[in-house]
Amino acid sequence: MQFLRNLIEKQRKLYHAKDSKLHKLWPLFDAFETFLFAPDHRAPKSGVHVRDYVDLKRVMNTVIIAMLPCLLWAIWNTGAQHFAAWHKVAADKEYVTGWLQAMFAPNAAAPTAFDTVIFGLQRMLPILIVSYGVGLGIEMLFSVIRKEEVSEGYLVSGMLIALIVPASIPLWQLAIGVAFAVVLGKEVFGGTGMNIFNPAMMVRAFLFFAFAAQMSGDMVWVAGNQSPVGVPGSLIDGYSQATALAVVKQATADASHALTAVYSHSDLFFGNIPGSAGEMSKLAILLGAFWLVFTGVGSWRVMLAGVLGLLASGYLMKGFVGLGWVTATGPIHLEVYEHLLCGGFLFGITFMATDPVSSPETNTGKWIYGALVGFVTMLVRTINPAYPEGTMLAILLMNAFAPGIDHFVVAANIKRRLAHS
Amino acid sequence: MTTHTITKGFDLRLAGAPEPVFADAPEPARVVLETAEFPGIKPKVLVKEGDSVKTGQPVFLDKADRDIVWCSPVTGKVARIDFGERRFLLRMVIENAAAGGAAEAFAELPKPAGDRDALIKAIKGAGLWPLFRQRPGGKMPRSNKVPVAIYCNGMDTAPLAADPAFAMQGRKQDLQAGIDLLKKLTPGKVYLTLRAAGDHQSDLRDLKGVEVHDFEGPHPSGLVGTHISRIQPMKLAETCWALRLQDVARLGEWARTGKYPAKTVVAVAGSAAAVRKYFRVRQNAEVSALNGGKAIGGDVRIIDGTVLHGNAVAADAAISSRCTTLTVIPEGTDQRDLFGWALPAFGKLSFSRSVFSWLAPKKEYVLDARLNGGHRPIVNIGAWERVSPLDIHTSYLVRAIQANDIEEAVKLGLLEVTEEDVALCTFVDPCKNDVGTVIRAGLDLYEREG
Repeated sequence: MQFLRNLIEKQRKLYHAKDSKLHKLWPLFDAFETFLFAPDHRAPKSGVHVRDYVDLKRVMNTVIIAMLPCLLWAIWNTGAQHFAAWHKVAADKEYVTGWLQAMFAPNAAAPTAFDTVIFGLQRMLPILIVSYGVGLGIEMLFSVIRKEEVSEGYLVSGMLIALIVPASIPLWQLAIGVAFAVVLGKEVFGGTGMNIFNPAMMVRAFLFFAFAAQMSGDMVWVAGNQSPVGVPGSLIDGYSQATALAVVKQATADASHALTAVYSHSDLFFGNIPGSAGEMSKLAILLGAFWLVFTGVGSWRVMLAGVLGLLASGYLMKGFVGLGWVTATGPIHLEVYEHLLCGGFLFGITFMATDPVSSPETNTGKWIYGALVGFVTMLVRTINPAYPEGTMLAILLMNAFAPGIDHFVVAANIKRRLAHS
Repeated sequence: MTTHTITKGFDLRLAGAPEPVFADAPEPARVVLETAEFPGIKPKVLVKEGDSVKTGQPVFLDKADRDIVWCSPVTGKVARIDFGERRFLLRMVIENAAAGGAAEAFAELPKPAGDRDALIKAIKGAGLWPLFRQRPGGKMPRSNKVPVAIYCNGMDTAPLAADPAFAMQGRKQDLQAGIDLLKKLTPGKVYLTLRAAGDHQSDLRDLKGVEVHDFEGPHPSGLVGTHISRIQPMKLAETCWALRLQDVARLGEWARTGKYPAKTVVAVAGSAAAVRKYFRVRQNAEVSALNGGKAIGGDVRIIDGTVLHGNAVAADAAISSRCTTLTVIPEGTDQRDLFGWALPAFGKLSFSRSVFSWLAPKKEYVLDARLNGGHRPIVNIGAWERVSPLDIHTSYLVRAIQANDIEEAVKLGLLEVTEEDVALCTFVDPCKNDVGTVIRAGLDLYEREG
């Protein structure tokens, strides 16, 4: 350890000395240095002389730990879904191996747990590498331009992005999406702490509208190794599998039966379903949510308000059908609690709506914001004719309203203050 | 008696609490009066280097209000007068003849008598006006505004702070005399705030003429800012005054004896302090007087005050005139934790459960002066809200000040806080923002523009 310290102290002069050629790159060196050793800053001589052991690195690391169950399940289930699909439609064809499978050849006919994990890693690792590589690269570039320390915000965004896209996503699309979101969604506002929209959600929205064929529909949720003509990306030729919400969307009546005919409740809860990489296992999400609330890093107010808001608006929509105000659709007929089991709402409300930067800061504001995320999600799911899922749009919309919600909460505080004056 | 329960806040469990034992500190060789302790004053020096002074003799005054004087806390000789730019008085060093065994001589002081104006003039002339603090702002009162209430704080919940109730044992007569004076200064009430179910309070609860309010809960339940917000929230354009129990006792001592109250009680605390006791010590004494006459050495930070609110002083400097706690903690020079952000960090103190200190709720921690992280823009994970019992949206207040929007900042509650009220925000902030500095900048701007 002392050896490492000495080495770094030596290098330090290269980057921090004003006359050094490498001086401009000091934010990069600092990022690497403080990754290893806590920075050498001490409290000013006046004011508060001691500080909490938590820094932003630890906060972000805590969120990453919260997402680990989702990531592990994503790796497993990407492989499991792949082999299941392979057996359904292509068992008689020749199995094409991917880059990692070339080293650990799978038994496609009877895949082992190891084969499943290898396939999951084969898809998830490149996604993580592209997400982090492109995103962190841009962040570091902007840090150098701004001459300030590299902020840790993207460590969470990078992981989130990998978990909210289909595992079949073409990497070049992902790279463009990440670059778009980090530059236009975050850096133009001033970087970490200044952005209006959740950067990870910006990536998803960009991909959703720019490359709709690879981000929606029934064909993209199960990853493959082949790249058949006409279908870009890595899919299994001819295999289509609707997500739970798409099944519900297509149902005309008795959506619950239509849903359970395809996916059982336990499949939905434990995540034995196709979907975006991280949203599938509700159990994994709940583990992460518990950790976030326990450590105090994620806001339980947003999470609880979101779930209550979704459930309440589910009943509300059913009531509107009874009054004849809206036309009954499949999603309205779904049992209200089943809305929690389908789609990415739990993932979104746990990991994305709670983003401290793009959500309201006041406690009252968090309740309103969370409830509205639930409400808008339900609106899109039930009333919008095209999109099965509304979580992404709901969170982005409420991100835009978050400062407005806070404004009214703060205005009420000011009014209270003036009232007793 | 009313009990107020504060739920939001945080008690830092630090090692090195002062033992509840009194000791007499040796007479210091020198005392040092620093004008930096009273920001805003325009000092005019009344003595020259080499002059002999008596205890209680005025040595400088404030040109903005020439009644306000600062008195020598010792009998001796003016050893040195330091001036800064444009001959602004920085500090005055006075040799203490009592250190050599010489007898102490007391200067004649004005007597507390007459109506309110005469009494204020007498307090100012006796050099005791610097004991008062005004809200809003937290500085010495320098206007003619009549306070709507006066708060005597008989508790201190800051980490390792001296317990005023313990320090002021046996001073009932002084305290009563002080309160009798304060009652003449305000048409409103004089409040005494005490720790609910605290020790050593039997004298305090017998005091006449005060309305007692009990506070319980974690820090900042013992801060006057918290007390004001719960007892009698200030309206705009109102002021109130705040003293601590120790200040009230000194006022009372002057009223009863007619002499300048040059001795105070200072608790020495902190994990790096050699002897942790309540010392009877001379005002403005050299720090070494609190360490058996020896300079405190080593890689330590000596804080005049507590770890949440105070100034680091050099080992050869002196304590401030209102000092009640001296905290000595390790400085932590050149100590850098490998992977500090990732390891569970069992032995580290944190408000957040992402550091595993919650596994040991009783452990007392040794903290040094490291920031434990780099400075980042505000990312509010809700920790500020959880340590602030005041009805103030701190992050919005901070942003308003940073945008120089003082009008908005006042609406958001700037006048209800000082830096000590937001000290816990600074402590818990993962982005290592210094909230107190921002608040003080806002208060200064308000003072200039208001």
